[in-house]
Amino acid sequence: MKKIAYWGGMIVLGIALGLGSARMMLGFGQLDGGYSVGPWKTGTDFGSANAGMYTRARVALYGLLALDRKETMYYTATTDDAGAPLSGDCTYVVEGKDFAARWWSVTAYGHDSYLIPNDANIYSFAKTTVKREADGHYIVRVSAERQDGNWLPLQRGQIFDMTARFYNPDPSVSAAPASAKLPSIRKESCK
Amino acid sequence: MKRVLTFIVGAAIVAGAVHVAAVWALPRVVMTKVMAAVAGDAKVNKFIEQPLATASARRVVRPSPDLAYSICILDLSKGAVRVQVPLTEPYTSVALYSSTTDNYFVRNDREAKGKKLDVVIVSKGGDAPANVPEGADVVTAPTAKGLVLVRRVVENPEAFPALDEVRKKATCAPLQG
Repeated sequence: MKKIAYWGGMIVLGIALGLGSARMMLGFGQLDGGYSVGPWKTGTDFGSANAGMYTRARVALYGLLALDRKETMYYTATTDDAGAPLSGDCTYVVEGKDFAARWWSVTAYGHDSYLIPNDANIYSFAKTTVKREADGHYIVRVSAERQDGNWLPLQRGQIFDMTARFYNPDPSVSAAPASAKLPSIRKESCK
Repeated sequence: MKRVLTFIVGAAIVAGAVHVAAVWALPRVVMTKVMAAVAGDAKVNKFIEQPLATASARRVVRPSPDLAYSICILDLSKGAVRVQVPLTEPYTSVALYSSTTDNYFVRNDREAKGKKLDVVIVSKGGDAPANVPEGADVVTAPTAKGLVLVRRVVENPEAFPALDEVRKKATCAPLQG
């Protein structure tokens, strides 16, 4: 009896520690692969056969069926410019210029990594859909409340994140991911 | 004292093995689930056109709402499969994924030799097909199971109907011969 408890306890503890540590390793940072532009973070090996065991597992959890960085680069922001977590209770002003890519988009995702339900059926803004100012730059309000002009809807009470996609990024961006120009994310107000 | 040490070392060994096994297995399990979910009625080697992603699209995480996806579940165990994909503006690509989530091949419209992307996929260790169509890329897949994902950028909602007509003309089918 004592023997069973001893060996059984060892195995149960081992399994618990193994699963727990795997979960911890995979839970941190989502697709935080090492390059940052303000709050926007990216890695380089997503979807590629060079990916290590951990990157591959993270991709399976947070970015399944991604493309390599020559084809598409993905930058994800989970905080605003000041480093505060993005919250559906706040309104953010996202302001920037065209990305150095053939085509680009910015999409908001809920805490579950799926698109955020909203009555307007708006989930993103993109090179070919965003309304621009006279000089070509754009201002988008990201908020649970309907906005005039560009609006990216949120769900109140939920955290969210945003992914910027560069389709066929300029070679300068894929060579030096930290040099990309991405929009600023400024918190305007909170409820 | 020795018993305590054995217990700690033993638990650590089990923990290490479980940790590696879990991290290793995760992408394989997830990919198998996704392929099963997308295939639905067990259609393999055939394109399935996905509707534009909305908040109710919950099969694959982080879908892009601006892309029209077509998926073909690959089974190369009975021979090579040919994928022919007509192009749409402003972006079309054909990406091949192994059953371990690796993206082992991608081509976009700018790299296409003609008016379509044309790819013959053979399994690793399988015989190279004798009758490769002219202009087609031949790609060796690392795993016999996997999937083809076609992405088309939808510039705006008005552009979708015409693009949808073109994408229905894409084919994914066993290479005849």
